[in-house]
Amino acid sequence: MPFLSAPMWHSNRTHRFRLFVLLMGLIVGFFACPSPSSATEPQADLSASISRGQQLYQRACILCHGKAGDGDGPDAFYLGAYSAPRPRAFTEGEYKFRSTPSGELPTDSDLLETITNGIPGFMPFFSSLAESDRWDIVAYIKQFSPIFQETDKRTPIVLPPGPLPPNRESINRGHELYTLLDCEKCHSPLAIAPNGLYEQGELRDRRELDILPPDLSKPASFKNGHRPQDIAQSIMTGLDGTPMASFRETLPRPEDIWHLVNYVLSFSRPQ
Amino acid sequence: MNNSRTPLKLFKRGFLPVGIVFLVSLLSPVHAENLETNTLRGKILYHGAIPPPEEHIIKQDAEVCGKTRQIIPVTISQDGGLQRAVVSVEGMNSGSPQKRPPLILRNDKCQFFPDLGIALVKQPLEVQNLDSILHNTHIRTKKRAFINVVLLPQSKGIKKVIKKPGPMTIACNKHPFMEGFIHVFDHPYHAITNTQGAFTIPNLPPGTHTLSLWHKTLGTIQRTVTLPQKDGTLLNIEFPAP
Repeated sequence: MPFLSAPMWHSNRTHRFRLFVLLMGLIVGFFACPSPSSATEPQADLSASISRGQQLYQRACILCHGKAGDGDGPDAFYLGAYSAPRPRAFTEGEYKFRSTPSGELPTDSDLLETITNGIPGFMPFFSSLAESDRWDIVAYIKQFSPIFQETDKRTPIVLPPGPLPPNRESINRGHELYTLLDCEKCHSPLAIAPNGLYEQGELRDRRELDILPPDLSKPASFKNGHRPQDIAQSIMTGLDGTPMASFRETLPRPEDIWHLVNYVLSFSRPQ
Repeated sequence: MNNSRTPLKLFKRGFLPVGIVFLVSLLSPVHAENLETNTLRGKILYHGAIPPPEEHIIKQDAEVCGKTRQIIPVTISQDGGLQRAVVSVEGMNSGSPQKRPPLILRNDKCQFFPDLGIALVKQPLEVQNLDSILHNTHIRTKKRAFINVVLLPQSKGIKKVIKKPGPMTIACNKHPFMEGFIHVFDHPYHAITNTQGAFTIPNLPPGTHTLSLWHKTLGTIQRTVTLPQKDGTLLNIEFPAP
């Protein structure tokens, strides 16, 4: 029996050992082998996109936004060197037009939207460029500030269901809110001429330059767009780098945003 | 043969010696050395010119804010101790800071409380309005907005978690005479000078450190200091005139 049992015991040990090695090999192999969607491929795509974006930037954007992306290109002087708004300084990672909360970075779609639609009176629209070209520019301008790499999540705010019909009741509620929220301190009761804080020289942008509130009777001049959802977004998120604050957590009721939008749009509608 | 492999014996042979070695290692001089700290005590002095107070005539909401507001650029004690300077040790990082209760920033009678505060990374900031008027709280880092919000009269707090270290300024766009400062750190080695210009930073490893000194009017300077192994010396640091 000892003669027979020893080899059997030995073969069991060997068998177990082989199984163990095989199992470990499978585990190590599973984690070591690159998966078909390896991380290197998107990286290659991204650097190609940045490179294409750079070429487009140097043709279309550099004159205002500058070679270094600091908003100080040669043509920026003609926009008014001593008044706001100045071209965006991508190096500082602060953006006015966002779907994200106050103080957060814009989403890539927000950047694409600004490139596509431009800014009335200040930045041309680039909707004639292929969409893939505009995405390449988005990839390139994000390179100017390390903050995009440091930030993992950029979550847009959610607007309440709307817009609501611009009936008399809604506009009246919007008027109440306009007074309650002190909108007239910057935008004036008639919404046409700036008054209050601007006339006192106390409305300044992040560079300490005087900044003029928009004429609310001319929605086509609204820099962040004039559709109800654009105006709602500007009020809810605020425009970072300007005195325009976020009212997302200030409105007494969620649907109030649409009443306020209806009131703002009523300035440009025949009464 | 079987008796020699009982669980108790395996435990005695395997885990017990390892456990004893581990416990002894905790008491070893290497660990004791790492835990050794000292307290940095100092005084910030300023003997330069003191700018006159800024007088603001209040045009908005004078019934709550008062008719005028005086902002004092520099305050010193009788012997030149600089008040309300922020002292911090550079190059320190305590890893992941612990969870802390929110830093409450109140708008009260058109003043920020605290108007000079310290927060830690990952600490929530809660902005409150105790006044009967609308306030705006616009907090900025050096380059970017941290938050720019409007608070209804006597409204509940708006919260946001602070993510990055560095100085932040607090302003109200509606009441430009309101000012405040928050300094965010990712370590516990910091202090605000008291009415005598003195500060204390405890639990600091001995050795040479670079101190950063900040004052809202005088700016920021760096000084190298050496903290001895034991006891302490009272450091006197002169803040130069801007």
